[in-house]
Amino acid sequence: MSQPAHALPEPAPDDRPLHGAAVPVPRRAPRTRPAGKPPRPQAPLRRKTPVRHQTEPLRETPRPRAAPKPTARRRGSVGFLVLFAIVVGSMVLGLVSLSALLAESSFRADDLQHRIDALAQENLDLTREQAALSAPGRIDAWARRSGMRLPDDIRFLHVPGEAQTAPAGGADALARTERPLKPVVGGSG
Amino acid sequence: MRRLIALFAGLNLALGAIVVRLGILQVSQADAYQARALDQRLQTLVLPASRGQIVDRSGEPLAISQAARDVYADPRYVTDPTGEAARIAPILGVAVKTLLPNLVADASFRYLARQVDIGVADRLEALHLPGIGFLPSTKRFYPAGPLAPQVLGFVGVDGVGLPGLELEYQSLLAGRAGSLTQEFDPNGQPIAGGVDQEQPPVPGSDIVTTIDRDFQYQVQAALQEAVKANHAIGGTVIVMDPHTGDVYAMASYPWFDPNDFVDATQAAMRNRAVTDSFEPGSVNKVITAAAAVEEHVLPLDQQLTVPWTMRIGTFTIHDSHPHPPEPMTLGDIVAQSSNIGAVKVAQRLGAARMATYLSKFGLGRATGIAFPGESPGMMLPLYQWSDTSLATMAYGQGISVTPLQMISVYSTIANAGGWVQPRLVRGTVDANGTFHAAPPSPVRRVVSAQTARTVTSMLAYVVEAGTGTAAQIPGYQVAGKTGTARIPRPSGGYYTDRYFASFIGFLPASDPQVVIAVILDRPTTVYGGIASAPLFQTIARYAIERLGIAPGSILSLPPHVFPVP
Repeated sequence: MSQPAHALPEPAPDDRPLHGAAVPVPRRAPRTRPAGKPPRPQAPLRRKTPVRHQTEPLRETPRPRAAPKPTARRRGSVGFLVLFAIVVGSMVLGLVSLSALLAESSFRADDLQHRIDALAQENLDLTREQAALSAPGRIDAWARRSGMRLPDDIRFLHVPGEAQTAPAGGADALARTERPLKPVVGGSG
Repeated sequence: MRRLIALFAGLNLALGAIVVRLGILQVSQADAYQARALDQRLQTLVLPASRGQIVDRSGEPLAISQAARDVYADPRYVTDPTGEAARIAPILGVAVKTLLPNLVADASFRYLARQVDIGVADRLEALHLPGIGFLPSTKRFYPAGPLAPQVLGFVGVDGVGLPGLELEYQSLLAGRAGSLTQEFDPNGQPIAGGVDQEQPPVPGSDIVTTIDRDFQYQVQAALQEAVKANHAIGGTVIVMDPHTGDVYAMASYPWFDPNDFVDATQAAMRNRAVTDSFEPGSVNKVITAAAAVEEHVLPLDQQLTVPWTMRIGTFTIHDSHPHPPEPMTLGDIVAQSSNIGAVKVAQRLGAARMATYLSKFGLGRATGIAFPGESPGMMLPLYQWSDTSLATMAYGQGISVTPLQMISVYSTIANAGGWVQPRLVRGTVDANGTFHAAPPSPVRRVVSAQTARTVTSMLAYVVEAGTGTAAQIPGYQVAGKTGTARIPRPSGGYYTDRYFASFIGFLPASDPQVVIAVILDRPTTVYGGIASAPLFQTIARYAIERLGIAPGSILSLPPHVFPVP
């Protein structure tokens, strides 16, 4: 007896489902090949999982836990991120502010130093001007231009109650002077 | 597969090399690189200490410092040398051809001008010329111009005092420079929180001199007038307090303006009062007289017969004017300034005692006034005296002294026989404004107070009736002595037409408050009594006014033969 040519070949031994192993459930039914076309040679299937012998005791498949609800998990992550952003942002802001304050102090100190230098320079200039204006040569020239002149003679003030000896023209006139008299600058001839 | 392995190995090798290099940089050489990096960021600025002022005895400024700038060029960055020189020259007041070589030089630094006023530097800076830079500097300013320039000295472009008090007190005036080390960013701005170490400068102390500024001015004006009136080539005046040694005024003509010392001559820079010595002539007779009185070799009323010439060995000594043999007391010898009389007195003293008194009065050694270049004068040691040494030294020839030494002799007489070291500095004022008085000048006894008073009366007699009548001041008894000294030739002997004319004295005679020395160099009027005594009188009158000197009482004159007019 012969088999029909279009009959499906028997599955290879490897393709047979194993007892106790998870059998992949085909998501859709295997399509039948269109008639008239020879079937493609079947490549041997690769086994990803070791083949278990029938003598190996079967393990009980763990029961999957109940997964957290996706909404709650997302809410926790957002909260953490917000907190993290706030902390990091505050730190960065603080550092930047501190740095800015320090920089501002530096600029302010620099400005103050310039101001001190300028004032010190002004003080020196004024000192110089004052010294130049009070120089005797300048005052003498000014006084001469104004018609002033040095006294030709020295005169004395006689203090009441003291010895009254007027010096006049020589040392002998002072021979009886007991107490010195005070000279007065400015008397003239 | 092999290519993958090779690529993987190569990458690993490269990564390994980077790791090794990183390890070298970050671990083994970390300190060195850190230091180099820091060094690039660090800048150390020298903070110059402000130089102390020099002020007069009342605190009036004689020398002050002001900020200035040094202008330099870096020729590598000068783009248009000719154009830049043309723009800089009129501002600096120099010729273009002077600047140009510095702008085209094969160098990285050339000074264009030193110690430029701030205003001038600002004008230059506003031009923003490439390759032109500025350095901070200071400049010394003498507000009164040529006032006591030889005493004050001046400061060079490097801020170091050269002559005078500027040199003598350089370390005190200069202070100590500080430093500022800071980290700077590439823009030249200090890095906040970086290295900031400041070693503040210590300002120099102020020097308070004994000089009276206004008095010094009057003295200089009078000296200049007298030099011109007597056609002298120079002159020296010293005014001093006989009790403290304070020098109120010290002037040497010719002088210079220390604000522009570059053009000054060496002759004008010398403080002749301290650094130059001269043969004093008859002003030295005061030592002969003081020694004779102190040693009692000649009673005051004893008369010696004095001819106008005398032969000593192979030399003939004579008085300034012919006169018949005349009887003279010691007072007359001093008052008439008789050389022969002085020789006779010295012969009674003997060489040893004469040499002793010359030395005790301070001749032959520096006074120690603390002034650079002070001359000790020149006095032969006793064992080198010749036959004529005793005779010539008795009237002030054959010995050389400085004007300062000679005024110290008269100051000794005025100070009751005590020699006082002269001084130019009263004290210092530190950076905190605290005045530190200089220690009082040392005093040493030379002759007794009685001897000093007797000699003072002789000096008063000189002014009353002797050679110094031109120094009289109405109302005051002046004590002093004239001197007319011949000037020695370098080749030996003396010029016959060159003299130092001097007058040194003090007032009032009974209670001396001020000693004045006047010395004119080669006046045509020759004699101290004619050329110098009037200048003494002028300055003494200034002193009376300025220092408020009272007339005092009158000393009686010594026994004398010559009548008092």
